[in-house]
Amino acid sequence: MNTLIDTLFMTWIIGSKDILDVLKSKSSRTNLLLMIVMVVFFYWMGTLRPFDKDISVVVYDEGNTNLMIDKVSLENGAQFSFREASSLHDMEAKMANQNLGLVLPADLDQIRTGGGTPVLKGYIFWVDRMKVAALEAKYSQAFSEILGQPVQVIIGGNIVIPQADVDGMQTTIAYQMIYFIFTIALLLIPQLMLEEKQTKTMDALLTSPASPGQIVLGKALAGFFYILVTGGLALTLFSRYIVRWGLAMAAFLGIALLAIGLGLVVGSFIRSMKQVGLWMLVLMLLLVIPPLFYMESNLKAGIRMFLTWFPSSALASLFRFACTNGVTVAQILPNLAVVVISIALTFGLVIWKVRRSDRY
Amino acid sequence: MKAIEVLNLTRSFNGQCAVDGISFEVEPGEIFGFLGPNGAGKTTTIRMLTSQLLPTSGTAKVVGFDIVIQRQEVKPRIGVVFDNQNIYERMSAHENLDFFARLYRIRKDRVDEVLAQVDLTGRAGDKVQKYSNGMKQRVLIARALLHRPEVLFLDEPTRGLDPHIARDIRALILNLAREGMTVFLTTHYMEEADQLSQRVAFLDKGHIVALDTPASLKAVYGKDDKTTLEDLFIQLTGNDLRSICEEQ
Repeated sequence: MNTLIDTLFMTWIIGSKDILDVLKSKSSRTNLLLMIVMVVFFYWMGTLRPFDKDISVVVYDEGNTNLMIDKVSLENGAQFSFREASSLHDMEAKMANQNLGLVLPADLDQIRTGGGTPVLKGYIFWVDRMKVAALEAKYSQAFSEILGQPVQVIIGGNIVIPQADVDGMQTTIAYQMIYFIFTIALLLIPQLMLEEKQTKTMDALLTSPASPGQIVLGKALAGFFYILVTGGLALTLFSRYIVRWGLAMAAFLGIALLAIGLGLVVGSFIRSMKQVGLWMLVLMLLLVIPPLFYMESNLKAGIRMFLTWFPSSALASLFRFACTNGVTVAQILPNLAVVVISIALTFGLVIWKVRRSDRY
Repeated sequence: MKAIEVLNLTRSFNGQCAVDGISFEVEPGEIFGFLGPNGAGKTTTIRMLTSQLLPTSGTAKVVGFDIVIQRQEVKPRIGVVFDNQNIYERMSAHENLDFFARLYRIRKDRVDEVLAQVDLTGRAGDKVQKYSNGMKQRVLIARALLHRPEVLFLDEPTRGLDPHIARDIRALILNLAREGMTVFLTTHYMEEADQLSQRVAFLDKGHIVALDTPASLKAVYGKDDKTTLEDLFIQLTGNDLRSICEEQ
């Protein structure tokens, strides 16, 4: 118990020193600021899309209204494009990257010829669940213009959660989480260790009551703090996509732990900033490319399978599952196993290197 | 109990012996000069005695604690002034010392005490990167003294310093020894070693080639009463370039 308290105490002292030291270093401060700007920028680009006036609609026609059109432009410049679905289920499945699902009622023609106001059922994604009223008004106005008569689009509780096996915005978000967290960890953690080595302050730490393991844990704590700053910001911004918070937090922790582990591995082995750059390039390619392509349906099945076994792909899958519906335990477990084994191997390598450090 | 006990201490790097079976003892309160040319094994010995490096064979105890199996017991009892100025440059002297005070779990007012002891109180809040070499060296000494160690390892503490700062540091070392602190000193300045050390050991190629008081060594190995410790150093460590040139 005393050893644990002692370790936590030493870790906190070294970690808090490093947290403040990052803020005092111009290069680290710049890296951190750039990452924060990047998180906000990607969020703005990917989710707000302020200049995007293209609205995709998946239409399920309950009757045979023959109202299906391909594309239409409105007076305000908005462009609506339409895809047809064969059933309600098909409509939800096809809504992968679409803004709206729309059900045309079987009696739509009768209502229109009778002079009544047609009521269309609208379906939106989970991410837009807080904007139901605004979207109802917006789409009611748009479809009134399209059909040339008053139309009411009612969304109500028609909220669609993306399916686990469907590519969509959740894949992009999961990828961005991987990218942000690995980048900040690999930018900061090796530098924290390299500076101690280059300025030989590591020798002073090693002759203090802190053990090599506690020194490494202190660096990990500082790394985790800055992962929380950038990754936590991304997680907050993307929170409206998250359906399963337990899985999202597990995935976030997994990404953070693997990123810290890899940062420590790099920090333990390198001796110069040039080596940091080389390691970072290799690792980022290995980490970033697989989750970018593992959902790509144009790739051969064998290559896709190969890419899913990379820890970053497994982590991206777990985070994607946290934003989707219809996830099974059988889908989660293999990814979880890849993540746990990768983290264990990475930290095993760090511990081996640290123990070996006093024998060089 | 001896302050330092070393028995057959050996350290090899890739089959090359840097320290080869050295043995010696240092008494409590003694200033012990550990002298030798570059590459003789001085720093390797200090690294082993300060628990930074494991010996290949042999044993050593510092203040009665084994440097291998009781290294966590050794650490709080030693202070080290390294041969390089390894201080956190973006932090002030006060912040540097405060960080180490927390690691050693000692009260904060001790930081002000040691800053006063090395005459840095007035500049304690400035970033270390603005300090001169002499001021940085004083921060290093303050850091080593912070936790009142029983044994102080000084690896070339006056190298590259102005004469008046070097003199201040020598005076401080003498004071510390008078107060009962054991000092293990390496230096390239033989006059400094002669002035400070009660005993000196000459290390050459990993072996101790002579160990005694400066006066005894001069009496045994000196050619006449004008022999200095520097003459003995050159004679005993085989690095007399003038002799080599004369032979040629």
